[in-house]
Amino acid sequence: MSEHKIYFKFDGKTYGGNEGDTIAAALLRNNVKLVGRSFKYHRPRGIYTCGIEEPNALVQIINEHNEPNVRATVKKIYEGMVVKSQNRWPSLKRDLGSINNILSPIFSAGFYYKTFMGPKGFWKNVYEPLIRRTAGLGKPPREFKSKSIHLHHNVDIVIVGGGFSGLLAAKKLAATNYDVLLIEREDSLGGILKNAKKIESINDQDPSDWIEKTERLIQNSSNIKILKNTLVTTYNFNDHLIAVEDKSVGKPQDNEKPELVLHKIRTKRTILANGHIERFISFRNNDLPGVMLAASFEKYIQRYGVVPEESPVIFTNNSSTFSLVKSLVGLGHKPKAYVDVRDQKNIEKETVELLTNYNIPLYANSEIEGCEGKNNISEVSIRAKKNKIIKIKTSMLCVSGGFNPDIHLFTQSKGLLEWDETLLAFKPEKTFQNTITLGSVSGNFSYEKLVGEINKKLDFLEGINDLEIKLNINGPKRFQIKELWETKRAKKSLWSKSFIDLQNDVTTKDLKQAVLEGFNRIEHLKRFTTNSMGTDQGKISSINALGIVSRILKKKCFRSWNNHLQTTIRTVKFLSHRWKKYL
Amino acid sequence: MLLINCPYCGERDQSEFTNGGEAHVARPKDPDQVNDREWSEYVFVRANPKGIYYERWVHTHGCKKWFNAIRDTSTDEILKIYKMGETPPPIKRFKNTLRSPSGEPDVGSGNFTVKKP
Ligand SMILES: [Zn+2]
Repeated sequence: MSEHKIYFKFDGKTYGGNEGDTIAAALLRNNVKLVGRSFKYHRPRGIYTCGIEEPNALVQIINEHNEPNVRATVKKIYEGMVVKSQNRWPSLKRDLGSINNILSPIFSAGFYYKTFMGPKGFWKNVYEPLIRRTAGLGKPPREFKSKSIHLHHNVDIVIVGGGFSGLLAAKKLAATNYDVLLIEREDSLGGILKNAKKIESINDQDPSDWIEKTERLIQNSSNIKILKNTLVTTYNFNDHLIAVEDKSVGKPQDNEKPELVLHKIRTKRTILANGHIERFISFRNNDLPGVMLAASFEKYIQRYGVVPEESPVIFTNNSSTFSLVKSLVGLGHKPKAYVDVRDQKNIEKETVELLTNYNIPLYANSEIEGCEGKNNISEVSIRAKKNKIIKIKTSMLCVSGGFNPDIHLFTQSKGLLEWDETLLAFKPEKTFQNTITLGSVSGNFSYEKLVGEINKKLDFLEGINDLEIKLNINGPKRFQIKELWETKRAKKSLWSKSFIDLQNDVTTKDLKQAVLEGFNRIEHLKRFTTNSMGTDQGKISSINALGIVSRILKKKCFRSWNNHLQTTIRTVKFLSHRWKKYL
Repeated sequence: MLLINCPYCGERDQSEFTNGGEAHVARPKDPDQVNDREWSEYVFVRANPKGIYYERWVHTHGCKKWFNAIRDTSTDEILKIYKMGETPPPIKRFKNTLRSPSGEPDVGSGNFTVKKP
């Protein structure tokens, strides 16, 4: 596959990527792993995820009016794009601000608030100038210009998410009298089918063929309109949705043409099929470049054809990482080790079999204690059975700490959540508007049960046949997980930190300190530690923080936190400043 | 954003309307006869309940006509819309369930330490 190369600049150096690559995918293609410095401690940071939840890989696009805090994992490259890393001086590899990391006892939880407490005159003359200079993410944009238009829609049904469940729902609605809008955030439909090797075949066809056929069917059906590159940001009262379509994906900005389209949609019913977001696990130096979420790692392989590392170490507490091993061995690569928190007897036999067949060492009942490295991981420490520490040299570590159904829109719609003890996640419990949730966002992590769920939840539709589908699923059929939020560290040093919020540099120690100082209500704790207050809004970290804090407070489970989380997940924080003004 | 059914034009987006505050606040018949306290109550004091609320709206970017609406402030559900001058339906016609969308208790604002009086 010889594709046309696209050249762009990152920190002054020219790199080539493929068409459709995000900045992150193209950098990984060129083996660039260090992409930024962190907010407070100026620690080296890499690419942590492969999507909208990215906390670390924020960059500045110089040729787009200096646009700051662009997620490298979302923004697609084009010829001549000029990208710079943020929050470092004089250079990414040698950064002077990283002294903060060693001074970290000064910058612990509540540091910012404590500076207000005196001595007199100190705030104005010392703290404020100091904080203003060192904190913050990118630099402000210059001569900002952008055109956008508004569009209004009045439809019967909106399907949010064109992944597997969204496609199935759209297929069911094809050629009916319902006016349907199918909205997908990425530039192509398919979702998980394109991101991972979870499903081997659908109706005896390759999943990509099935997606193509289904998409054609939907496109030929006059009642369904597909919007791609469109992010639903808001779910208002009376089933009113707001979505932003990016018209300039993979293209340089054209100041003459509208770059963004704001869709204001009034619908009778909303089908949420917007999937899930993976969580991590906190351990010593879990922020080093080279640590990546396991599903994101697999997405780089499957969607972008980039293998970030041929022999990573995999660390998991659940059954989902089977497909990552499958993806790697399918390309002739081999993970260095597979570390599973669960007991050997609880690990699915499919996984054990696959690991044995390919001679991949399995460490059951074990965890990652921490990792070492300067600007990238060089070594990981595994705490195996009987507290034995085993060190393995590797440049990448894939982590999976479970999944959170992507309930943001559901909570905005004022729906109620419940804590699921088997998934260890919040899932929708009761709808407040005309909302239907399908697939993983509804807490259904089983592909086998998906069609049944869709047929049942869409049975209000009249005169439509039930969907039927034949699936060949790779690996474990049931999702299983063991609770683990943070591993026990063996080594202590000022440099070594175990992070909970990577973007705001909040450590698990900060959470403990906040509780000690009496901030044990989750809203107070969030404000005091600034946990989940970054541009990523804690998409991968907030539930972990609840997990750690409930452990400290020895709450048995999340039930007691349940009501505290129900603060509506705020919309605006998802929006880049570019289109904030239109809302 | 609410969908409001203007009695003259039909269903339109909330952005076309302006809220006019509590409805049926009677202006004192003879303003010169009321004391400052009564006058200030007329001007400033509003019920602001959590639950059923009688309020006025104007279709600013439409027919520009005023009308009344009965809205449950805990759910933002509009229960009834009627024209100016029509007799307001009695409050007992509506079930005041106070089922707050985010599952808060009837009293307080989601802060569970607030106790019922
Ligand atoms: Zn009107």
